Amino acid sequence: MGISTIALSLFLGHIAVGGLPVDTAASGAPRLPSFSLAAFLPGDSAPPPAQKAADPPPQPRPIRKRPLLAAAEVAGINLGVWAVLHYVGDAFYSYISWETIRDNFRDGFEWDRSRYFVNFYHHPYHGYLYFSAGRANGLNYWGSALATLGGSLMWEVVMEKYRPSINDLVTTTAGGCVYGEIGYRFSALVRKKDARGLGRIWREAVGTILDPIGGVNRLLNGRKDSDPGLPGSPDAGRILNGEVVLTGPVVTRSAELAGTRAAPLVGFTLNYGDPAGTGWSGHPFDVFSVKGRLRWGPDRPHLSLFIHGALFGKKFASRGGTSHFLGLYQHYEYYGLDTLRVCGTSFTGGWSSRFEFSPDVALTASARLGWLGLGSSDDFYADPGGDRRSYNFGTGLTSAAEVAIAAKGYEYFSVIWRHYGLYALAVSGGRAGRESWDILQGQVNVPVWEKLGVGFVVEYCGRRFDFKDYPPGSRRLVEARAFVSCQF
Amino acid sequence: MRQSARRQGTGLVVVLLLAAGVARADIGGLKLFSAQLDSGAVFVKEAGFGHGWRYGGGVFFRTGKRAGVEILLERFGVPVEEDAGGEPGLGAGRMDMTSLLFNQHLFFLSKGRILPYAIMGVGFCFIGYSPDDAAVLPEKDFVDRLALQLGGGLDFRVSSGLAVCGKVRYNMVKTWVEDLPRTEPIRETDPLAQNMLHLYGLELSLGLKFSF
Repeated sequence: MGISTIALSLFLGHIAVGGLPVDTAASGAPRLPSFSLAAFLPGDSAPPPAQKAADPPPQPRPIRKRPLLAAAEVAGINLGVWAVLHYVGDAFYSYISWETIRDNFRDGFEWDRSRYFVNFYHHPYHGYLYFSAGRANGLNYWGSALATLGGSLMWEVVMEKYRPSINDLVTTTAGGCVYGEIGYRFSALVRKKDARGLGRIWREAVGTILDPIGGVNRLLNGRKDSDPGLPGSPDAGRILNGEVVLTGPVVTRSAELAGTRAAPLVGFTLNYGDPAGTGWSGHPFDVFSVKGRLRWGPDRPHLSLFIHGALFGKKFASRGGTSHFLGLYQHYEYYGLDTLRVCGTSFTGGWSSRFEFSPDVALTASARLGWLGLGSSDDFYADPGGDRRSYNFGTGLTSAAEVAIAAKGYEYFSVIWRHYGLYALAVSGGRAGRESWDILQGQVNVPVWEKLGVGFVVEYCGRRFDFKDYPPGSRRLVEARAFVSCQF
Repeated sequence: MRQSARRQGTGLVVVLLLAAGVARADIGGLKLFSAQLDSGAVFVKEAGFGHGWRYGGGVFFRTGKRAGVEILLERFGVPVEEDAGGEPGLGAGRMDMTSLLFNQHLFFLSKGRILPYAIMGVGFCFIGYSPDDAAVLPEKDFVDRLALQLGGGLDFRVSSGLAVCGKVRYNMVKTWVEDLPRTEPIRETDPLAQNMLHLYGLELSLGLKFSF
């Protein structure tokens, strides 16, 4: 029943690239811990001095937009993926012809029946590539989103023999935009314009993983450092902070799931910009947050990802370092905990505030409420042997609230609550009905040595469901984890 | 046959030499737009399929310093033996393939008389079949497919507006033979349950490219 933690740590750094955004220094807001990979690479120059850090961020020069090349690259991605699937994978759905395309145009969209992980993780990654092609050719967020939509439409209608899928179109486009933009931004943080030698190689390799088509373009174009269209160059200097946590086996209790189980877990949180608006310059995803974790077992690895970024927003600064941010957010979330799985793409309106009680102590609070556009959750009643699809599609409401207390840049305490209200759609053999999810996580963290700390987290996941022609029910799971963390 | 080929080859060399003789030394880079006509031979690598002549024509658009897109319509026909490709009931006859190709050209050189390039693209392949015995209606047909195109080519620029182009290309069609008449849309057929024919055709062509 009681299981202890295993202590390991991952070292990450504490330094800024190119200086913090000017409003951070000017407003007198507390300096948030920030991070870059700049300090760890051989051959790189030293970080800029503190005086330099207060300089305004470099103003982006006009970027040459190449929409036709972006479209050609999106088509090329599709043809390349198709060629691999057809000639290497011999995928049955890759046998396409003029007839299948004509039939797809004639018959229109349907709901897809692929596996959960394929539909809600692979498809967004495919969209990620389209988005990356848009960004790599100078398009802004919205232009790249259009490229993602176009690429997904082409794939659905042309590149598969099946009828186009409406849910694939939604998850590829919405998820692709979210993954693509954060990948593009992280790539810009990792790469450095004047890096040379091993540092250059390291940065470009990681940058290419994060922003694949941008990396390929740079390779083909001969790494044009002076190109003002270099993706991400306007973004140097963004604040990035977060933590990495590692636990040993965890304590899990659930009456419905037959007792206690154990599973190790590795997780991370990355905050780009500041939830309370520092770093916001009016562009989508100037402020975003990524929380991810991989949890082993007991049956298989479970991936969870919570990503939300501001599409539109307005910041309000008050006296004494208090600041507020009102925003419209885009989310892509994928939650998995044993047999409890829920995911979806949503849009919310929300508000974040940071209150300073003293120069060293701050409380950050945020709340969001909005539309869960397309979600999905496990279907307990599905026959896993008789149907590849064992989940229901749904739409509904989503909300979240977060509170965190930090002192001297170290987060000691946080509580996060998430709610999903899903109205299951009776499509493609799905079960009509309603379900309600509540996920609550409370965490206490204490520094031990510099940024390394130990902590304890309790997580509750509850699900109530009421499907047509089936008895209503619920499932609950409580999990307790002790962990080692590294905040940066 | 051999004499005819020799005559054609000699004629082509004479034309090339004459054209090269009157061409200017500096003929610049790739032009924005070209029209082309070509012809050559095709060898289908599946058992029971022979070789034949091919011909085609199309347009080429330069899209970058070293890149361009070719849209080509081509056609060829090859003889088919009885039960070719291990397909029982397929009578001896002739297979004709008409393809609409969208090929990307990546040039290794962007200036000069000789411009070698790599080819990759896709083609919509419309495949027909006619048995030798004209009195028998065909009861089987090949299923149309989208196919990958891979190869390379070389443009010998006689002048800024005229080039002789030679290409070697693989047309990689994976398809099967179906019974006629078809009773349901082709997407309802499981391709992995069919006797798959790899009609990979090696295509050799020589043609003229007129640039504007």
